[in-house]
Amino acid sequence: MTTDTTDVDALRLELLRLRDETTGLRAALERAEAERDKAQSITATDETAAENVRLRADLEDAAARNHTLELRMEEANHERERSLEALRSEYVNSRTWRVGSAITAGLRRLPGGTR
Amino acid sequence: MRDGDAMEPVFSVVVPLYNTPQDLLTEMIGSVQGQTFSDWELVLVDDASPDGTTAVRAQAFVEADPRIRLIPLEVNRGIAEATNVGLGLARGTFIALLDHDDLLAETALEEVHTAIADGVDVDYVYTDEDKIGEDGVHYDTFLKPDWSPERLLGQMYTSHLSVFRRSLLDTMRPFDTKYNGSQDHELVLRITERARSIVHVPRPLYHWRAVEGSTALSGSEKSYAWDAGVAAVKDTLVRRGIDGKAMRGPAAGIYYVKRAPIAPRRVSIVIVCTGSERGVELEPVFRDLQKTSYGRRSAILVVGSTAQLAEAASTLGRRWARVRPVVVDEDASDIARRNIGILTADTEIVLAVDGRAHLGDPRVLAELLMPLNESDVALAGGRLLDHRGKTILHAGYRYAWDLSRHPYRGAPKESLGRIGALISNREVSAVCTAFAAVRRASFIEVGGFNGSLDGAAADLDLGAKLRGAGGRIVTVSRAEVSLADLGAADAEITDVERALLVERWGPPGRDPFTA
Repeated sequence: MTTDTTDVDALRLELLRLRDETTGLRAALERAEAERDKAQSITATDETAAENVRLRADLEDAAARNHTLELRMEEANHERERSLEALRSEYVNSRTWRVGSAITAGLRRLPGGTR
Repeated sequence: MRDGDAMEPVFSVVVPLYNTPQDLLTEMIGSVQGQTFSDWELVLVDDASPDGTTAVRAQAFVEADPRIRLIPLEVNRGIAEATNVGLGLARGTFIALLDHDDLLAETALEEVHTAIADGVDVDYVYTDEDKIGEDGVHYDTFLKPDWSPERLLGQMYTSHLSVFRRSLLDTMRPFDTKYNGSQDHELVLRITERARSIVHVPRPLYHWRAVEGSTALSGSEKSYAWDAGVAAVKDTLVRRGIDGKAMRGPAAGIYYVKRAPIAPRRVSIVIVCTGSERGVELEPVFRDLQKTSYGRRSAILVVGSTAQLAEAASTLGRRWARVRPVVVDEDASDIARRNIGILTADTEIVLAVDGRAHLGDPRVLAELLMPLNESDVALAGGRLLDHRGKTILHAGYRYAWDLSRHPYRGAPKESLGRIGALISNREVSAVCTAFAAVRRASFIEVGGFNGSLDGAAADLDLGAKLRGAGGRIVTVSRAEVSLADLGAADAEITDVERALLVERWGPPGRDPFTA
């Protein structure tokens, strides 16, 4: 039985592999056809149109890279804010702060004391 | 392009006016008049502006340009109804919506026209947008994903610029005043159910002016809109026969759709012992699983070598009785083990769980599985956090070779993400299958994981195959688990793997869902 089960498993894996290969080949073919169509449409128009297509692609790429940089800047800002918050928290929770805070609170209650 | 009537312009740009300041009116109209594509009409609807001057100023433009029409309403009806009046009188083949204080990019109509001409039966087009400050500086560009129905349920992401085929709009109820504040979201939810083809133009062609009182500044400026949006999403669920509830999400303008949980009997949980793992390390994940209904009632398969399974059985004790062990050769690759595990399962849905995952909240499994209630969702991935559960390791792949394939990596788990990308479910190119649920029939149909790939390459290939077969892949914001690291998903994609991916799917460029 073990042998049969193993055979069945092997067959199922082989079938899966064949399906993957078919899917992959179909995808590669569709991509090749799309590239060919795109190349033909560029050939059919003049140089300016081809340059236009190239520039639009560059613009798209630049927009995407810019967006990525903006994301990274946002992440860096988050990190900076977290660090600042951690520092502030450390200071505010420190003994020095607590003692100082208690003293100045007492000073405020004195007549003519600081606000 | 036209419907046959030579007098119909291609586009009707419909703009409801209300107390529109002179300078903003002039700039808005100027942005339409300056379009590189000239076959348009501009339909201005003055919603009985109490200032007494909006209609007068608009009339001056009408008299100077025959393409501009003004419809003055005698009684104020609100933005939804006012727009509906404009829609009813528009003559264009396509209708573009523009707010009275916003601007169109110079090539907006031309690029939308090109997208329509290049497509087939295009009924709805939306573009990217940005904001423009009072100083005229552009910022906050929103590079939107391609058509993402799951994201649209959670957020009105298509927003501006939206262009609809008029003949389709004519068959539907237009803007519904019941949803004032989110009337556009509600309309788009309805129209996209009927649209034959939906196209995204990935260029910021709409400039949203940030002024006091506008949602461009802050969603909370119009909190009533949020509740209207909840109602819109709720009614959408009812209309589509989706068993679920809609509620406010974690931020203004974000909605949480809680679908009915998938029955445990429809799910198998597959845990794979990879080549280097010892079976004994499964104890923590089993402990977490037992707290969930799926852990108690779904089939659990553990895939490993004889030695790994024996060790796991010994460690897990009585828990092992629930397990269906799947024996593989000791030298079987990790990818082969994963394929075997999913093949061996005999349920509709397979939930793959990395043996090192810390599940934490017992609700994460139910959250992860919920999108698979939609028959066209092929794969749902969870969010992977670092071992402390504080920062994001993975929240959906971008199709890329380097580690930018994990966008938002390193962000705190509380991050909103770009325009709320991290706080609503959204479509992605692929997900890390360390914690993911797949529709087994879809997985088999496309041939599972490719045996010559591993880690991220295998995940990217699987994602592309599933999408190529018409499936959607969703990352689920509330399904968070912690992992020490991503393992193979962090390894470099080798040259051989790249060659195969390029042959099938092309080199990395613009990812359709993640900028």
